Amino acid sequence: MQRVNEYLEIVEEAGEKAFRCKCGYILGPATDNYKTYALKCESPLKKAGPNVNPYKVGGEKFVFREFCCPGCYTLLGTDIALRGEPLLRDVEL
Amino acid sequence: MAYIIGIDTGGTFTDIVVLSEDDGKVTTDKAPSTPRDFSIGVIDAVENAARQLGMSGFQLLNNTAIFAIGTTVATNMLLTHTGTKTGHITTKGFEDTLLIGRVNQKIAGLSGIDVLDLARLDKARPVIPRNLIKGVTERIDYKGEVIVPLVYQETAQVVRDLVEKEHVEAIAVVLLWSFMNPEHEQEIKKIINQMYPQIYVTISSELVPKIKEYERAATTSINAYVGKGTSRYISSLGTRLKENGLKLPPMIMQNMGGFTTADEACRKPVLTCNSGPAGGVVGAQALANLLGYKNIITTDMGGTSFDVGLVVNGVSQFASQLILDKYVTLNPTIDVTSIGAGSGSIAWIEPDTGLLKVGPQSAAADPGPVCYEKGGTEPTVTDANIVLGRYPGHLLGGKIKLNKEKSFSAIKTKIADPLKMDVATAAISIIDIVDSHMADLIRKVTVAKGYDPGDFVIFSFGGAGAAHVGSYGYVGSKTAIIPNFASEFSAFGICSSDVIHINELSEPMRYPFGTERITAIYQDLENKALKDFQAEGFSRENILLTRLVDLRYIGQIQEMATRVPAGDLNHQDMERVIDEFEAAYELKYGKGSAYKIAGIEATTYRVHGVGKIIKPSPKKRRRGPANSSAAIKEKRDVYFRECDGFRLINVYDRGKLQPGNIVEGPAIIEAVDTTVVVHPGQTVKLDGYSNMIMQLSQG
Amino acid sequence: MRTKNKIDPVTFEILRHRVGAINDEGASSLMLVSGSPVASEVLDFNTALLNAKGEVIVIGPYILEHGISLEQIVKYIIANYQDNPGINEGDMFLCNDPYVGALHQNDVALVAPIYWEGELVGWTGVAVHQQDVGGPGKGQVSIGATSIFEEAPVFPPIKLIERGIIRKDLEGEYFKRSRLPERLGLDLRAMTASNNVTSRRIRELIKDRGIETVKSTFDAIIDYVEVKLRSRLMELPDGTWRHTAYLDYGDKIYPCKLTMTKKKDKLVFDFTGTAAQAPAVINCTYPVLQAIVTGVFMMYLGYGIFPPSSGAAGRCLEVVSEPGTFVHAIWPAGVSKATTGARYSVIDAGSVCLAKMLAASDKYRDRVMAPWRSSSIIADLFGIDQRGAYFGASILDFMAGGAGARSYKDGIDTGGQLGAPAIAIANVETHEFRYPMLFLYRKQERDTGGPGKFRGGVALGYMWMPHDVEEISNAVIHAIGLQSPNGVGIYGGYPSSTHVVSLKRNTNILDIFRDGKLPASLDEIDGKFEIPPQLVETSLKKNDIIVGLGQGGGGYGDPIERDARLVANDVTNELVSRECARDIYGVVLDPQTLQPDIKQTEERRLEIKRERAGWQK
Repeated sequence: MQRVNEYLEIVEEAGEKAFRCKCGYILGPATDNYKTYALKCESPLKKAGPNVNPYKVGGEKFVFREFCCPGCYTLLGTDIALRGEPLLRDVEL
Repeated sequence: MAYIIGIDTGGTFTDIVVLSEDDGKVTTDKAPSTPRDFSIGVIDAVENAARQLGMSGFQLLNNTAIFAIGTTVATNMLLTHTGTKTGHITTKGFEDTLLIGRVNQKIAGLSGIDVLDLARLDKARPVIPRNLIKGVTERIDYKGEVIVPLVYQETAQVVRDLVEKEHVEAIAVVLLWSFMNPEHEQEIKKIINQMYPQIYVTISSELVPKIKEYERAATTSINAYVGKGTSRYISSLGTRLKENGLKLPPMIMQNMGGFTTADEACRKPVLTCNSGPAGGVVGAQALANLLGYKNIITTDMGGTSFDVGLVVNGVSQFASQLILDKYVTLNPTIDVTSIGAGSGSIAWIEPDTGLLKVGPQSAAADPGPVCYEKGGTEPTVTDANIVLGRYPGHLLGGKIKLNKEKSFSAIKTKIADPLKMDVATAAISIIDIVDSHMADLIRKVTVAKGYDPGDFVIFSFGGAGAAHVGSYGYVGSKTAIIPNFASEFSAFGICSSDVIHINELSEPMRYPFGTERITAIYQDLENKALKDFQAEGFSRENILLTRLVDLRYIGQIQEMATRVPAGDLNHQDMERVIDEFEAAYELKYGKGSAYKIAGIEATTYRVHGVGKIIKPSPKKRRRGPANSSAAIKEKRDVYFRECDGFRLINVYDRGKLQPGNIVEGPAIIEAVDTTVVVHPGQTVKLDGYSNMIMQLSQG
Repeated sequence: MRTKNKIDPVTFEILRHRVGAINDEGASSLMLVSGSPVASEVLDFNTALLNAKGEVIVIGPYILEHGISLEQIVKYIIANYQDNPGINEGDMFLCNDPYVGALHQNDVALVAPIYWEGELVGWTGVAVHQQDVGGPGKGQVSIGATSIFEEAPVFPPIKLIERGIIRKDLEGEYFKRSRLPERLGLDLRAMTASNNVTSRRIRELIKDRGIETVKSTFDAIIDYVEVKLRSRLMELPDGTWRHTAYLDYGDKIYPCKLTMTKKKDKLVFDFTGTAAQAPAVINCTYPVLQAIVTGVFMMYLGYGIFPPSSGAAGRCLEVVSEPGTFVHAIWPAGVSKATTGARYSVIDAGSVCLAKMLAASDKYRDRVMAPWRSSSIIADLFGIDQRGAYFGASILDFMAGGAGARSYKDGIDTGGQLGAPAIAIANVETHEFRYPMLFLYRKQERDTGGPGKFRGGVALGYMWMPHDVEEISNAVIHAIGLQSPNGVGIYGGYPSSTHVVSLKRNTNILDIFRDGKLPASLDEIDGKFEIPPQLVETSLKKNDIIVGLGQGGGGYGDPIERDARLVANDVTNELVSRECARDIYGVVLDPQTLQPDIKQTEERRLEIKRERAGWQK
C-alpha cells in the first residue's frame, strides 16, 4: 500500500494497482487520473466563496471544479481551471 | 544595624543578598522557590540569611530599610496564560491589530533556524481573545486632531457588555494616536471607573504613550492581563512581610534596571517581566563601578540559558522593546540577549549526518544531567565536565552528589562509541561546541553592534559560568571577572539598584523643532517624575533626571536616543543636540551613514529619573601574599585541550584563598556553589572584595 | 561526517554556526546603516556568502530569493569578467540585470570577492529592493511597456567600487535616473557596509583558523546541507505531481504549468507548456526562475537545517523550461514586475506540487502546507505630502495575506508570504505619520481563508483615503490574483479569496465624519463606485476612498469534516460568515449562542453529501 494523500491510497487489486478511498471504495486504476472515476461538479467561481472575484474582473474565464468519492461522497479534491480546460492529472505514483 | 535586602525569585531557587548598612558586609543565601505561593520561599530565604547573621527572620526584617524583590509572577502568568479575563477597547475598524501582529509576530523572538521552519510557525496565543476586543466610534489623526469624537453612549454600552456579559475583570484601552491626544482614552477610563470601580484598567497613553499602535496595544494588554494577579501577589507578599517584621512595603524590581514602589508596580506590572536578568546587569554595573571598569560584557550561564548584556561607558545598554511570549512590548528595558546553552544542554548526534550537536534542548534541573541520578539519560554539558575531572563529585557543598560513572557511560554509549572517539575526546568536544555557541552570542552582542570585545571586561556569573568563561571568554577580552556570590548575582544586582522612573511621550515632529513645545513636554515629564519621587520620600538632591530624545533621519527607521540639556530649550540647544546625534550616528553606523539632506525627525521624548539610594561601600579586605599554595585542597587529573589530555593539577578551595593570592592555570578552584576552570596560561587573582579576576590567555 | 570533505567534525560544528552568524551580521549592518523602510521594516532584502566558485554557502532568513539570486550574478562575473574589467581585492559589482540574475530591475545587488593574501576565498553579496531606479513608470512598473526598453534601466554587473574606491562616474550614472536618488544612496552605503563587514569577519576567521580550514568549511557546509536534503528526498516516495497556476494580466490569462518529478534524491521542476511570454512587465528570466524554485523547495524541505544553503538546495534540483515563456523570458521581454508577477505563479505551482509530494509520506505529512497567498496589490504613491514635501511610498499591506492550511491545523491568519518569513507590515500610525493618508479600517477579513477541514489563514482588508492634502497626484495601483485565487485548496479544501481592489470617488466621507460616524465598509459611504483596471496610474482626491481585500491561504481537506466547534469559533472571531459556515462547512449555528446546532448541522452535512451524490462521473 502506498499513501497518496489524506483520503487516497494505492493498493494492489487483482494484480493491478488501483486508487482506493479511505472508505474502501476502489476508484480506478492507478495508471489513470483518479478524477476520471470521481463524481464531478463544475460551478462558477462564486461557489467557492463570496470573495472569489466578486466583481467578475476579466469576465468569467475560470470555473471551480469539485471531485468526490462515489463511495462516501468525501470531497477528494478541488481545482480552479480555465473554462473548457481538460482535467489536470495532479499525481502519478 | 540597618539592612538592605535584595531577593531574586527564580524558577528553582529564591536567592537573597543582605547588605549591612553600617559595615557594608554582604550575606547571601537561598531557599527553594515555592511556585504555588512564592512568598513562602521568600520568607524561607530571609530566615536562612538571618540565621547566618545570628538573628531571627523577624529581627532582620524589622531592621530592614529597603526590601527589594525581583518577581517572575507576571512573567509566569503570561507564559502559562493564567492572567485575569481581560477586555480590550480600541478604535473601531482596528480590532484585529493585536492578532495581525504586523505579520511578523509569528517569528518574534525566534532564532534564524526556527524562523525558516514555516510549517511550525504560529502567532502568539492571544492574551485577549477576539470576542473580548471591542471597537468604539472615535478617531484622532496624526496631529492629535479629533476627526470623529468619542460617543459616550456607545462606549458605556461596550463597557457594560464586557463586564456584565463577558465578566472581564480588567480592560486595556488602546486608541489610535492616543499619545498625541489622550482625551478619548482618559474619557473611557473615567467611564469604566465610574461604572465599575473594581475593574483593573490600563490605558495606553498612561502606560506607554508612544507611536506604533501594535506594540502599544501589546504592552497595554499584557499589563492589564497580569495586573490583578501581580497586584494580589504583591499585596499578599507585603502583608506577609509586614507580619514578619518589615516596616515599609517592599520595593519591586523592574526590567529597566531599577526598582519602584509596590503601588507603581501594581499599576505597571508589565515592567516587572524579565527583571531578574536586568538585575544581573545592574549588579555588574555597580561592581564594575567600584572596581573601575567602564565597559563590561555581562554573561550569565545557568542550567538552560546563557544571557548576555552590555555596559558601555558605565551605562547599561537599553533595548527599545522587549519580546514577551511573541508580543513586542515597547518600554525601554535593559538589553539582555539569550540562547539555549547551559550546563544542562544535551549533547546528541544528528542521525542523517553523524554530527555532534549540543543543545538547544536542556535536561534543566529536572531530570537534570545523568550524574544527578534523577532519571536523566541524555549526556549534558555537566556530565562532560564531570568526565573531564573539572567538577568535583558533589555540588552545593555536598548537598547534591554527582555520579561520575553514570556520566562516563552515557557519553560513551551515546556519543563516543557512535563517533568512534574515546570518551574524553567526546566530552571535550561537547564543551568546545557549547563554549563556541556562547562565544558566538558574545560576538553578536558586541562585534555585530560595532564594539570591540578587546575594550571590554567579561563578567561571568550564574552557577555554571565560572567553569566555562576561560574558554567562551576567548573573544578578544583580556580580563574576566567572576564576582563574589556569582550564583546569587541577580539578587545582588537588585540590592544595589536605585529607584527608577522612566516617563516618555511620542510626539513626532520634524526639524526645525518647536523648542517651546519640547520644553513643555520635558517639564511635564519631569514634573510627573518629581511628584513620584517626592511621594516616595526622596529629597531633591537624590533625584537625578536625564532628558533624552529619540532622533532619526527622515525616511529611516533607526532611532538614536540623544541627551537633551535641562531647563528652557532654545534653538541653539537643539542644534547642539542634533550635532551630537549626527556624531553618535556616524560613530555607530559608520562614516558617511549620516544623511543630513533627508532632514531629521524627533519621535519620542524621555525623562530617565533615578532616585539615588545611599548604600554603604563594601569594605576592602587586606591584601595577602601572592602565593596561594595554602588554599590547595587536593590534586586531580583534569583534561585540557591545551595539554592534549589529562594532567594532574592543583585544586584550590575558594574559601581558603586570601586577597592577593594568585592561582596559575591549569587549575581548578572550587567554591560551594561554583567551580572555576583556569586554563593553562591563565591566572586568577582574588581581589580585596573577594572577586576572582581572571587574566585570559592571549594568543 | 559522511561527506567528501576532510574536516574535523567538531571544528566543523563550531565553524558552521560561526559562518552563519557572520552572514547574519552582514544583514544586521545593512539594516542598521540603511534604515530605509524597505530594508529595515519590510525586510525586502537578503545577504549571502558564497564560495570561490560562486555557490551560495548561506543565505539570511529574509526574502530567500534575494540571497539565492546572488549565485547567478557571481557566476556571471566569474565567467565573463576575469580579464576585463578584472576581479580584484576591494572590488564590488553592482547589478540589477534580470537576464543575469537580479529578480527585477528594482532589486539591486552588490557583490564583492573576498581575498586572503591574494587568493580568492569566496564572495559576499546583498540584494535590496529599491523603490525607484528610474524609467518611464514611477516605482517599479511601466504600464503599457512593450519591451524591457520601455521599463526601468538595466545595469549588467558594473564594477562600481574598484579596489575599495567608489567610481564617482558610475555612481552618478546609477543615481541619475531615479526619482528618489537619496534612497539609492543610502542603501548603496548600507550594502557596501554589509559586504565590508562580512569580508572582514571572514578574514578574521581565516587569521584565527587558517585558510585551508575556512575553505574546507565553506565546501563542507554546502555538502552537509546537501546530504541532509537528499536524505529527506530519499525518504519520500517517487512520483510525479502537477499543478497549473494562473497569472491574470491585461486581457490575458497566463497559465504556469508545472510537472514536478521526484526520483530518488533528485527533483525535476518542468515548466513545459507554460504560456508564452508577455511583451513586458510580468515575466521572469531563467536565472530568476531557478532562484524561485530553489526558494520554494527550501521552504518545504529545508526546515531545521542550519545554515540555510541555497547552493546545496540547487544541487538537488533541475529546472526545465521553454525559452520564450513567461517564466523563462527571452530578451527583450520586460520583467519589471517579475517579483509580484511570474514569481508568484512559480511559488504557487511549486507549493502545491511539493505539498502533495509530502502528503504521500506518513513521515512528512505534518509538513504539508496548502499554498500561501501568492499574488499582490501594490499602491505606489508619489506626490506632495502633508508637509509640502515630495514623497514616494509603496503601500505593501497586501503582504498580510493568509498562510496555507496544514494537514493538522489551520494556516496562520494574516500570515505573510511563503518565501519571506520575516516580512512585516508597517503600523497604521507609521503610514499616517509618513504619508498623507488616513485608514478607516485595517482588519482580518472574513471569508478570505480557504475553507477546509483545516482552514487557510485569512487575509488583511483595509480602507484608506488621502488626508491633510487636496490630492495624491500619482497613484500607481497594480494587482494580480484578481480573477482567480492562487491559494487553492488541497484534498477537498476550498480556495482562498481573490484580491479585490475597489474605489469610491468624490464621496461624502467628510460629512459622515461631521455626523460623528466611522463607516465600517464602503457600502456606508456615498460616491462613485469603481473597480479599477488591474494596472492603473491615477490620482486620488481628498474625498476618494480605496479599499483592498487580500488573498488568504488555501484550505486542507473536505470542509464538511471540520470540527463544528472550530467553525463556530471562526464565526465568533469574525473570520467566517454564518452563510459560509452553513453553505460550505455545513455548520448551522444557534442564532442566540452562536454555538453549533448539532442536529441541524448533521442534517445540513447530509444534505451536502446528497448534493454530491447527484454529481456525474
